[in-house]
Amino acid sequence: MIFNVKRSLFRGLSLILLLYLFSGCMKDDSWVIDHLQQGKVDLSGGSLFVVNEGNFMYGNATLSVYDTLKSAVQNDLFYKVNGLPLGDVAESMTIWKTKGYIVVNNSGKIYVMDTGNGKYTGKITGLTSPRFIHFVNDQKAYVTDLYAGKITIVNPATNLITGSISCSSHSSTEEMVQFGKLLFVTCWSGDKTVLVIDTETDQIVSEITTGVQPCGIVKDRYNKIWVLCQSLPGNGSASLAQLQRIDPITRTIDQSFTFPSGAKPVKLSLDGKGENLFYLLGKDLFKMAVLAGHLPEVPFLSMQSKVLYGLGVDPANGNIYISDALDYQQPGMIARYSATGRLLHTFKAGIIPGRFCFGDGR
Amino acid sequence: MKIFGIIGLLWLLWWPFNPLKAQSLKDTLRIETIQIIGKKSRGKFNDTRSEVDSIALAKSSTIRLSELLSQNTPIFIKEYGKGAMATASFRGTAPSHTKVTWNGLDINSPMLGMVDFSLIPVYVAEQVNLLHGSSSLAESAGALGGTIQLENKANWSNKLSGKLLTGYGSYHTLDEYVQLNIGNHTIQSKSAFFYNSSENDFSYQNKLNANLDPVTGAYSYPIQKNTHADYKNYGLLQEFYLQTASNQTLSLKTWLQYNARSIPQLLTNESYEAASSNRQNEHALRSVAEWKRYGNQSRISILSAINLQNSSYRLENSVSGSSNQVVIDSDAKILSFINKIGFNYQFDPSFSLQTGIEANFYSVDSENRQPNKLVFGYNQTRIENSFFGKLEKSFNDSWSALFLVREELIDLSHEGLLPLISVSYRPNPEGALVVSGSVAGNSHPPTLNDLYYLPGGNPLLKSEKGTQYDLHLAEDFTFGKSLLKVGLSLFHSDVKNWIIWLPTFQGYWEPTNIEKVVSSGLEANGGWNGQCRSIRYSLKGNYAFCRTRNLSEESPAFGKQLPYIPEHSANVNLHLSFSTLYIDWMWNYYSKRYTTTANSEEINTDYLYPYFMNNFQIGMSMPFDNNKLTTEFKIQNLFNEDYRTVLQRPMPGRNYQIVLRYDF
Repeated sequence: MIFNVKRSLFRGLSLILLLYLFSGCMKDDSWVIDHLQQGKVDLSGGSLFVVNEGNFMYGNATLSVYDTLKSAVQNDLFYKVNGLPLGDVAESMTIWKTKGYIVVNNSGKIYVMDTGNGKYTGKITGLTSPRFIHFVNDQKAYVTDLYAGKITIVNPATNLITGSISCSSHSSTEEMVQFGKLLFVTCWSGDKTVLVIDTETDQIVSEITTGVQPCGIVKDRYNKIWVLCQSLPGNGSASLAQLQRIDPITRTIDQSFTFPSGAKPVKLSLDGKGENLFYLLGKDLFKMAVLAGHLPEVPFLSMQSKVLYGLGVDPANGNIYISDALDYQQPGMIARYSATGRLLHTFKAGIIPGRFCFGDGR
Repeated sequence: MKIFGIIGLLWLLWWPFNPLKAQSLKDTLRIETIQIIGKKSRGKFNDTRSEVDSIALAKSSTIRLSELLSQNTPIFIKEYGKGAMATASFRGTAPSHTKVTWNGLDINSPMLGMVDFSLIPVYVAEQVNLLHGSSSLAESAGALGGTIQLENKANWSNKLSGKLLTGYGSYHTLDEYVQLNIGNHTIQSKSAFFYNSSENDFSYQNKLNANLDPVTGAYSYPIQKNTHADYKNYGLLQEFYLQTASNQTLSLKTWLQYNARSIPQLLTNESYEAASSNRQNEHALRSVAEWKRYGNQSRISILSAINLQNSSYRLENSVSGSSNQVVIDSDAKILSFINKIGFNYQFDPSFSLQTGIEANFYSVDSENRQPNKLVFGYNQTRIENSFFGKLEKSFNDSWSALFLVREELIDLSHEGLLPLISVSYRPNPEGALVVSGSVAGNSHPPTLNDLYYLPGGNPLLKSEKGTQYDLHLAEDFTFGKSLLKVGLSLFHSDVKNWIIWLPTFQGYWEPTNIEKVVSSGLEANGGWNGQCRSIRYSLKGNYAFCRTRNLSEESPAFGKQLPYIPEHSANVNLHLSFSTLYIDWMWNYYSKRYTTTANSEEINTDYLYPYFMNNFQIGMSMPFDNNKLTTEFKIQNLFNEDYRTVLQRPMPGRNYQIVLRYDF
């Protein structure tokens, strides 16, 4: 009898041990918590924010911050400070006053962050597929959208949507630049239009027909607006890529430069003085004076990078930042060059570093 | 249905105390279930084949093939959520490297190359076989990981039999299955209808979104429902078997299925409420006709089969104050037309020859309508031919060998001459220990999407070329009334021109060949069956260790494990039965999976923590006359864990299901 009791006890204990071994121990909470950063983050020193898109449908977008004075980088800043992921496909970041607005395209929202300490202070939600935000004043900002067929108007003071401008014949709206009270908006995906919006009435006042897929748009020091039009993939009869200049007064294209067949220039940028345009083409960086009468034939910089993806020019000192997405599935590399093209520093950011946003009002 | 489920649960609890039960036992002549413990005679070869055992199949009647495989085989299943897409990684390879056949019909999509295992109910197969690594070459080329065979067979002694099954579970999950088998020694018919649906609207706390308290700044994490995640599958199975002569059989098997499901948003999504309708629908018709003739020393078979899939995917955004915006609107019509002739000849008991010819036609008509009114798509066909010859020879009681060579043609152009050599050694002809080794060359062509998808398809892609090495050991041990079976396989696979889709700066993805990927590791399995007094037990397990490394010198991911492939995976299944009562416990483990090629853990989205899952079920099977009534109560995610198997996808907590099955 005692023997049976012992045996039963042994079997019972064995079963409990087995249960314990196989019991649940997935660490979802600690997975969320372990990566929080203790202590404060100092963002006072000439910050450059790098928006890392992450992979589509992975939700692994991140924000890196680079101290341009100390040449030091902190990756995954937003998560480390706030314990929240940015979301899926962070497209762009714009700073207005002391707030950074990070547009998270495939999460339908814009995170608002204090640029001094990285803290999450609010969010604008309920968007469809936001791409860029442009501030008109403290009470009004416009948000473009890849699929909504409208430009959303938001109030930065409340982070609430206050209205919209229907662009139903143009599903995709992209980058924006302002001239006076007029806002020029590229209609990118499969389109060939730049919309002109009166920021006082929120009405579309003009539509300018451009090359195929106008994407990047900047305004030079002579108040001319430059638009980079990408070619259309998969269409045998697609027109070629073009760099076009718009006179914002007459709202017409007054200069147009056509790229050779097969060229796919991307990421149009402008230096701080508004005198030189930059764009990436293949593994090269091209620089073109806004007064030049033709496209540059020789690259400003040729790189051995895998995949050039992002481009930013520091408006304060002309330093050029170029990102390499490597294989798109691991943290990308950023190379920092002087205005004359000398390599100054390289550092690792997040997955697919796509956009640069210069802090302290630059 | 809910009431039905509750009644079933009460019946289960009440049954042991039912006085009528005792009455029925007195009126029924039943014998005790007996278990025969003994060593099964092995074939001449012991290549790396395995099968999901019948107990596992029987208890898995209401689950998807994805769950069956993850719980009973070393195959890693990457699951995007309950009812959502599930793909397989066999020996660390890509989803398109696992070939799935249904009664000889290759059901991999020629468009995508892979199979979505979440859409295949376990009902459709009575037998599930796995051909690991090079073993698959004996059946077909292209399966760099291995082949999963789903098979059905005639039961010529059947006159009338069938099965009725109904199940109800958490989140309004319904399972219905009806099967009727009728026939005689000459003709047999099996007809089945199945239906499975779920609202799949489980609740969870979303820790990836937080609302700020405007005063204190404190976070509150919303409790959300897994909306837009419903699914529904239903279909018909019809099998006819005809004994046209004493040595000839003709069979016709048809599987018709409709699938519809919503695809939920990621956890971080905070777009316009009810912003999107993201739906995927598919109609599939699969049919296989096969004729076999058996001679004294020979067998000839002719198979003709068709796999027709019409699938659509539509993503529609609701835009506040405006009409809906269709973001993705794609349709695909996919056709596979498979034709095979096989001939076996047995020269003598120790020497045989097998040859075969295949002529297969594939067609994909894919159309993607863009929101900007543009239409991208392609309409392409491909013809694949294959010829093979296989010789098997037993030299003596210990040594035997197999030699196979397969010629593959694509659109009548030479694709590859693929050899397989296998040697098997049995140290003691009377014993169970077998050691076998093989080496094979394999080739996997790009899918039609890889080549032609717009935008991004790359017509210059090369076929993936694999060299596979296998070493396999198996042994049985008997201890009194119990039998322990163990197996160990070591494998190494060297794949050149591995195809991978990568995003580009142009905003779309493109496939490209990467120089070299090496997958190597081991698979171990064990099974212990026996009886202790009146309790019958079965303990089975699988373990796999797999390193799949990118060894392309130019790649920035050189030497790194491919994303989402665990190095370790394991499962254990315990089955105990006593009289009419039985319990099952299923445990499943995957080690940490990296989500990027950096194999980093710097940020939390770089990896997923190890996965442990416990499922449990208790059932009672009551035979009477020639019939059987079975009730099962299942608990999934026994320890109610918060977990995810893919980034940003919620998974359900503890959930329940009750199943009633009547076999006659």
